[in-house]
Amino acid sequence: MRSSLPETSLLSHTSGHVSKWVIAAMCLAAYVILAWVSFIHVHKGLPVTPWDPGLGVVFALMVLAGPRAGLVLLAGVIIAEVLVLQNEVDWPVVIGIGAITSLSYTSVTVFARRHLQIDVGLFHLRDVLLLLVVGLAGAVIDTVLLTVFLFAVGQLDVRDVVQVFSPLLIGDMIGIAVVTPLLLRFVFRQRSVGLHQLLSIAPEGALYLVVIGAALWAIISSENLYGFRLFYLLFMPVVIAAVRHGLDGACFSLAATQFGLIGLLHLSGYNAAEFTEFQVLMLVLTVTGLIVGVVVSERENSDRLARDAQARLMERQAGAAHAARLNLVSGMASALAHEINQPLTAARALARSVQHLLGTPGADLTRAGNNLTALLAHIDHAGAIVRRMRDFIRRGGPHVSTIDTRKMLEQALTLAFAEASAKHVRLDLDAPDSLPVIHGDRVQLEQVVLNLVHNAVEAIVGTGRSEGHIRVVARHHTAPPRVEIGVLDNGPGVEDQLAVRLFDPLATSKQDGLGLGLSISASIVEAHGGRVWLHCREAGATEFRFSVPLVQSKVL
Amino acid sequence: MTMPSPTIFVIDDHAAVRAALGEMLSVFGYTVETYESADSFLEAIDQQNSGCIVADVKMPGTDGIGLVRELARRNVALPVVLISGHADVPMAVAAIKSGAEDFIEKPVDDAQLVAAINRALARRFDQQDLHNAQRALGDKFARLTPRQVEIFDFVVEGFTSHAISAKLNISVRTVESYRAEVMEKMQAESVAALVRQAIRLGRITP
Repeated sequence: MRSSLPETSLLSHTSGHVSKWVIAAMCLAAYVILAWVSFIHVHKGLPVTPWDPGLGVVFALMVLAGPRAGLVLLAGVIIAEVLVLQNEVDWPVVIGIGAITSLSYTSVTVFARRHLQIDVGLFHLRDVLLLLVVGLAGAVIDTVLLTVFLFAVGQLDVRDVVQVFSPLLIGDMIGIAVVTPLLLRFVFRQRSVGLHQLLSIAPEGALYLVVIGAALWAIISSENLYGFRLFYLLFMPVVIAAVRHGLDGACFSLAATQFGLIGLLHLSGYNAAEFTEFQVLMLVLTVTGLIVGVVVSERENSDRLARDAQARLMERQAGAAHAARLNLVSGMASALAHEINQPLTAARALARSVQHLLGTPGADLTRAGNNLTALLAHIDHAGAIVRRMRDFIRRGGPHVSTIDTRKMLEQALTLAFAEASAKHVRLDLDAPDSLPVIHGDRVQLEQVVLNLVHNAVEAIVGTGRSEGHIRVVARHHTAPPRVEIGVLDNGPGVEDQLAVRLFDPLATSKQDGLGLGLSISASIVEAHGGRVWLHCREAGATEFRFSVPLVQSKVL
Repeated sequence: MTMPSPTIFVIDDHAAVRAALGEMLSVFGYTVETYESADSFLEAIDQQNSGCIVADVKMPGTDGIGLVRELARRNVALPVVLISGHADVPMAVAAIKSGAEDFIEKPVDDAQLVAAINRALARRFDQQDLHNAQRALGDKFARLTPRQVEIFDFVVEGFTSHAISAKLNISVRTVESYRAEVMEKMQAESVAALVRQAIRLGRITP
């Protein structure tokens, strides 16, 4: 995924209210300080230290902010030449060096931004490779032009060229390869990483530092350049960090390795040639670490995106299921109201009878007590219908739990019984106590049962026959282990035309139906790893059936 | 004359409602019988029953309105109070048009129900009284001899004894004597009372 933010807004977000001038000044200061810190060798006016971290900083700014950052590089090179190197080189040559360096890198970054659409979040292998290639191109152009320029103005002679050329090229490359991704990732991560997260990975970070330090010490303290052979030790912490934490881990461990290496080389007084050889190895390590890191990050990102997409899909499905439940209940509303009215009627009559009994001298308290008991049962019955209805239309995300199949059916049928009773349709539940538990979203599974019963009631009522009868049958099956729940009715059956597109959205035989019930039911059942089908479409023995597997590879 | 004591017949397919309404009316002092359907009720009753029916409108088989019509067809004089859980205007209109005594929504207000039952019973008693009086009058009239009937008709049509004697060619005294017998048999204290009886018997039009 490409970063949707334009680079400038990313930068401005990072800085908060800090203006771009302050950022430019900070980068400039960083460039000069790093040039001063990393300055080890100079050859005829050129800092031939094969490591230019300041360039990495300004290169990051160029990638983020565009060609204007070229001015920062120009100013940085000139100030560094004058202050740090305290060179005896003439002003025009200094300005020439600055201009060539600035123009080389500005042109490649502008090209990368305009034509290659490099994503500064470095989410993909492509972006990291592009960054490295663009950095290499900039370094080659810069080095070639500088060499030609210095040769032309007589600063270098032919023998110097080789001595200057490769350290300069490698130093620029490694500065960009180590520092630029680190900064770009830092700018990006600043938005999303909290202190808590940093603290949680701090011990692991410290461990990497210790391992890197130990490996570096082993390399540097070896006699006779034996240390080169130990360089592979450094791959271990870098690759482990990259595998565990992706590109960010790689950037962190590479920066630690590079700074540690430079520091130790500096202390132990290696010469420029050996230094350059170390830097070539370091460059290989850096490219390896970055590639491993970004590949790991890419995979993590795509996993996360897939999970997000899955979550959004589930959310939408839950929303659709909820809408279908509302529709289902509103279709049953009149019948449910009627069914709540019955126990209320009975309760009211019994309450009046008790009142009358108690007001009579020599009241029959036993009779009054019995009537109160019956009255309470009626109120509880009405309450149960209302409660089931409320549970049913309450909005909620998918909630997976272990469900007692029989109990789930009984609860679903509280509402179904109410509707069937209001429509004078007989409804029986045939579910053995021995049914196994299933895993899933209880309300959604109830919705499927209720929807099937509701359809059956409507079908029977549509025929106007008086002997309507619906049976809900649940059975435990093996091979594969599953529970099958069937809803049978003695209604008119399902027409050929409708049967083929029964589970399509908007397929309906009802005048006021949306035709969503069965398609939502199908998607609910499928999300539980089962399926729903028309088992028998004959008139008088119509049966819809659905299965829920007991062993689910994935629930919802 | 004696009648069977009035019974309230509660007919509702919902057992809970049937039992509770029955219990309430029974506590209120009525004699109550409950039936789970109009059909089972129609099987059980005969012409002799008196009282009032409380029936749900929506029932499997014969529904409440069907019950009212069936009773009218069978000439059973039992008033019907209909109750319904999902009452709407067309249903109420259909109920009253069919000849139901009253129409009450569930949950039933007991005061309304008792008032409807009592109104229906009272009207039925009034009709009963009227019916009884009419029958007594008919009995009395039937005891008159043909000659007395002839005299009755002339008297209520306003003929004087002289006119009647002239028409029938009998003496005035004889007419007076017949007339006294008619008044006595019909238990009429005056000619005006006799005229009212004649109207009720349909001998003359008012």
